[in-house]
Amino acid sequence: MNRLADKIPVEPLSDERRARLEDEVASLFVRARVADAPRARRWPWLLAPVAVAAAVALALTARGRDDRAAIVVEVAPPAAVDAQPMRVVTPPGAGVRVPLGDAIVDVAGDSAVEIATGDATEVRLLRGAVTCDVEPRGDRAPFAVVAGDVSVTVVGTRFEVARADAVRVAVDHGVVRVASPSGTAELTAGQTWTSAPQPPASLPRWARAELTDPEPVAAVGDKPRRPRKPTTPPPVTDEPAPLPQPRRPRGSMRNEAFTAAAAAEADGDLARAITEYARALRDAPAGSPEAQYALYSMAFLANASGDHATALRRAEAYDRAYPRGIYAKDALWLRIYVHHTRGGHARARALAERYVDRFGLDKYGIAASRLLE
Amino acid sequence: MGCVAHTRGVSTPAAYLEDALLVDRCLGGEQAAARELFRREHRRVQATLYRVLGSNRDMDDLIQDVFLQVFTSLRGYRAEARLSTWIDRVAVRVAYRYLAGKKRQPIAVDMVADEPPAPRLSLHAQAVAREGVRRLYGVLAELPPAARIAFALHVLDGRAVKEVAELTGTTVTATKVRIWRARRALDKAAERDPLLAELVTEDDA
Repeated sequence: MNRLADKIPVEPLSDERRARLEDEVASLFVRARVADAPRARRWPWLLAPVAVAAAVALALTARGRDDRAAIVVEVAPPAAVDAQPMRVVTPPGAGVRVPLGDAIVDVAGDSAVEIATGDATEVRLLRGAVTCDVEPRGDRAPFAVVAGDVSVTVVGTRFEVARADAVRVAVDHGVVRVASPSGTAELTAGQTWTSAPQPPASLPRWARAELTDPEPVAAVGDKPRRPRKPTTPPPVTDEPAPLPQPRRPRGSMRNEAFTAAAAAEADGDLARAITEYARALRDAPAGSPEAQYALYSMAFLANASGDHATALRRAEAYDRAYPRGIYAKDALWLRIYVHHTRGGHARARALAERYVDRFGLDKYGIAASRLLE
Repeated sequence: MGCVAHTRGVSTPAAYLEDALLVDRCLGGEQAAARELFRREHRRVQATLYRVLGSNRDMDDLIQDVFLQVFTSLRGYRAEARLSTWIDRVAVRVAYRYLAGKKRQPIAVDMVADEPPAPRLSLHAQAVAREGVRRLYGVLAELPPAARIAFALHVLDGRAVKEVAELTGTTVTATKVRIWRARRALDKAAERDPLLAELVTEDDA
């Protein structure tokens, strides 16, 4: 025994005090609305790799699915981030709003922009479109959008700049000054301006990324979707080839809970399927194939329904419970896959190393070894 | 002041499954699961906080704070450690914030128990322990919160240095340094305080 610890016994709480605490904690649980708490947002497609790093605090707020600026990114004051530009890449159909103090930049879906702040704010549009709502500059720092060789300087206005084969500027209200090799023009509310056709831009690697986030603007409470067919993971990585998707557990089990789970899956009701698998897991003998099947299915379906944190937790529980189980390889691969596709590359590599050490170079092992290169 | 680390939270496969299912139920909004979690963990949470703080004063608020943080962070729990270990980390963070907020003000040690402890010690030993403990926590109150927590978890709560490092989110070396600083402060105080010296030196005997 630890003698000093033995001389300092922990004074227990009385039963009455403990019961009161339990009620208060249960009440806190209800107020915390744990079940309704938003899931961790899926944002690896939001690139700020070398840019803002620790200087930027990200606060992601979910909004409606159809809202073009579905995600709000709060950035630190310009002084804290002026050393390097912030890079934003958006997938098709999902925009990003970047508040910059006295200006708001709405980056449209399928766009790539670089935002530099400091003495002046410069939004470099590499592809796609941005809409800027900028307060009158006056004594404020200059604000400009640069799209190729076209430069749009803001006087104080709301306007859109789109870049495709040509650069198009549309002013909603206020005044902007457009400079291009063909001269300068001042646009007022309601006016548009289109540049001469632009040569194909040579985009940096990060801006070329074609993002395919499965559900970047999913609203909390959206119904889970059916399991997706294998798709290419978001290529916001250095990986040359897609990784294989985790496999669905093979075979089936015959008892009421498994039958109900299979029926729910067939209906696309993944939440109910998971509930049924949880029931099956509780009923199955510990360590039995049924228990393993149920637990891995719960992990797999959590991932399929987009709840990656829960998928990781269940796969980790599987790994702890059945390190040599029937689905041990699949559970470990699921963790690698989720970490990797969600931007946790360091963790994915560590798990990939573990996979290769433990299981060698099988199908997943070869894919895992690619992560270690 | 040696100590023996004791095992906590046996990590069997069944225990991990139990954790995963309990978390699932909580995340499903099941209030009964939240109560079950509280009943399962509250004693260890209270013991951890008590060892660090030396008192049940403010304990209700602190325990509520711990569980509120557990509930709101539960979705981030990834079963990479036992749920109990994860909750311990939350409790340590809560204790740290509490101590940091106190700005090293000595904390009065409330030795009046809710319930009388079992009479395991002689009357003399109990009297020495009460006063010694009060003085011990008086010394600890002068330390930075990180050193106080490391010392309390290792020496008073009997956790291994590695476990303390994990709970406090720092390295083993930094943890050893913190514990050493606390011990040095305690030894210095014991040189001037026979009662404290008795408490401390008997521990080494």
